Amino acid sequence: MSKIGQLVLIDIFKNKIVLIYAVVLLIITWSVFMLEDTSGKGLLTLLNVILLVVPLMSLLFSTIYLYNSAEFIELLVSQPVKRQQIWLSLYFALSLSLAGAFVIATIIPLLLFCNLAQALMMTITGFAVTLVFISLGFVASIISRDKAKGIGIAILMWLYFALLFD
Amino acid sequence: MIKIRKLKKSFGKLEVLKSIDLDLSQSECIGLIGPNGCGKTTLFKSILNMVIPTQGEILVNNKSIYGNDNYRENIGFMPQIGRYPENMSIGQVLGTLKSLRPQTKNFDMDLFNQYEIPRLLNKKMGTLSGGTRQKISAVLAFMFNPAILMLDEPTAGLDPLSAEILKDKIQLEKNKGKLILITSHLLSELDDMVSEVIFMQEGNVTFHKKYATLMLETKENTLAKAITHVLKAT
Repeated sequence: MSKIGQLVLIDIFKNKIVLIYAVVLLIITWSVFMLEDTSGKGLLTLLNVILLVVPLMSLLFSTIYLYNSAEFIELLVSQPVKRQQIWLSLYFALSLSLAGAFVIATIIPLLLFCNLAQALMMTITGFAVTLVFISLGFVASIISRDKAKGIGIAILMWLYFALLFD
Repeated sequence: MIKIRKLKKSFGKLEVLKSIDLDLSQSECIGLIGPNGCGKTTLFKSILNMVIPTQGEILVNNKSIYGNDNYRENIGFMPQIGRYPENMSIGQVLGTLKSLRPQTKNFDMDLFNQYEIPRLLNKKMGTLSGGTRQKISAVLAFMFNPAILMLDEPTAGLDPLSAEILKDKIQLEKNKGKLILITSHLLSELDDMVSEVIFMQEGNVTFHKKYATLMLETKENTLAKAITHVLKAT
């Protein structure tokens, strides 16, 4: 992984929000399986979490992170590096941290309470949803230079995909 | 060293640069001045290929800059506002940028030492004052010994002592044969640094002259007065 990616990854971890996100997901996953009497119901609740909370977190976190690093990205662009490398590093670092947090938080309770197929299904869905919404976060932050507008676009995207589309 | 040919840039209907032609050669310290919104920053960003022009081209060392990312090895850029990842220490950021330029062997640590950065290496970027961040930007621009230095409002936000250190450093680098481009609104500060002046207005280069020639023509002794003289004459 490139040096830029490593730097961004360390920056995100020191930010601690991703860690809190992982802990919250872990608590949610444990509690849905403990509270519901059948694992089917628990899975359904967890699916709702994946469809609502995960997209919102991925979208907003990546959009705001990109806006906050705008000047740093500009400095990186002035270095002899390909732009593709800069964007890919940012994308990988964000995906790795958010998708990683999701997988680590949900995989253990899922394996304990469900069968392997169900567990894999949920993990892969959550993983994919995270990646898709991080990409949308990139789109939102590139559309406008105005931070408020960009975050507005991100929230509208979430409303459209998470509520209407569903 | 840098040749700009018929450079045009418009953002929508707004024409920011209207056919700019410039030849910038080494061992010069060039002051790029003009009122707000005259296209200075856009010109800077065009040279760094951060802004893609509508028309025209830019050659650095006689090579077109498009489709070629390595030419930036020769450029040190100091942005107007430097912001870095909040949670990283100064040392980590310097290390990352070093790894992006593996070709550089001789690091220029003058500013690094003069600004006493070694004492601050473990400080987080988010806790630094604007002036300290500006110092980091300056250190980064000079560190890789680039042949071309592009400084966008370099002394804005620096305390007088640090600004003086930077000015001395600029002089030193100019005498080493580097090309230095500076934008600044503090004309009095440019007086003892620049050897050429480019004055821009509304996307056009009004003039590009040697500092000495300009002073001779206008019979003034400071840049501020000379510019006023030129503006009154037109």
